[in-house]
Amino acid sequence: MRPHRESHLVARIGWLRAAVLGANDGIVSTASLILGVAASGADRAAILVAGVAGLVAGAMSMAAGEYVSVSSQSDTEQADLARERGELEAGPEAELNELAKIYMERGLDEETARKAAQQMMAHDAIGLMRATSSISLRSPRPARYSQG
Amino acid sequence: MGAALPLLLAAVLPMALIVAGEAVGSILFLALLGAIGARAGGSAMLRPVLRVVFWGALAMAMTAGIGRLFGTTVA
Repeated sequence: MRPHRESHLVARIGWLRAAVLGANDGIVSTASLILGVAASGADRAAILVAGVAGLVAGAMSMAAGEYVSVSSQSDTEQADLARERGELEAGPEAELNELAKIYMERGLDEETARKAAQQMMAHDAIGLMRATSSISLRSPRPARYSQG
Repeated sequence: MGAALPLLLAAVLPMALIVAGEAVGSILFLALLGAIGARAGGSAMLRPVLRVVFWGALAMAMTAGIGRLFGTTVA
């Protein structure tokens, strides 16, 4: 049997999306701003001032937007993790059931699911909480890399 | 950085051509960008190119229209 080679371009989709969105945003906003000023009959000095101001404003706004968006996602994940940690200390049995239920929803029978949950909890309970909570946070929507 | 391209156009184009040249040049940049994105993502070229060109042209037409409106009222 030949080794199976994964060659999914989807792996590139994150930075690709961010790059295309960023460059697209820069071109459209700056060109539109310059066109608006130019079409009003302004001279070149006014057009260039508008263009440079637009460029700086756009860069700052994108950087701030990206920072805020990533920070708030990370805050949410941290808060969720702290909550899970508390629940784990308060009632490990409930967390075990929760985890086993997730595996049953994914197709394991009850016995296997409980066994898997027990072994994984014994191995690294907090790491497991991190993985399952971030999956449940992210699964309804594709991961966001950039909100330009 | 995408914004540098239209700014460069505004600096070098002759004033008589600045509105048309800026619009055409920026749409060409957008088309190129769409093609690069499609190439890197391994998808077909036509749709992404048309998409960026359409939305870019719409945005530019709107602001140029606003500029013209205010320009004629003020002048």
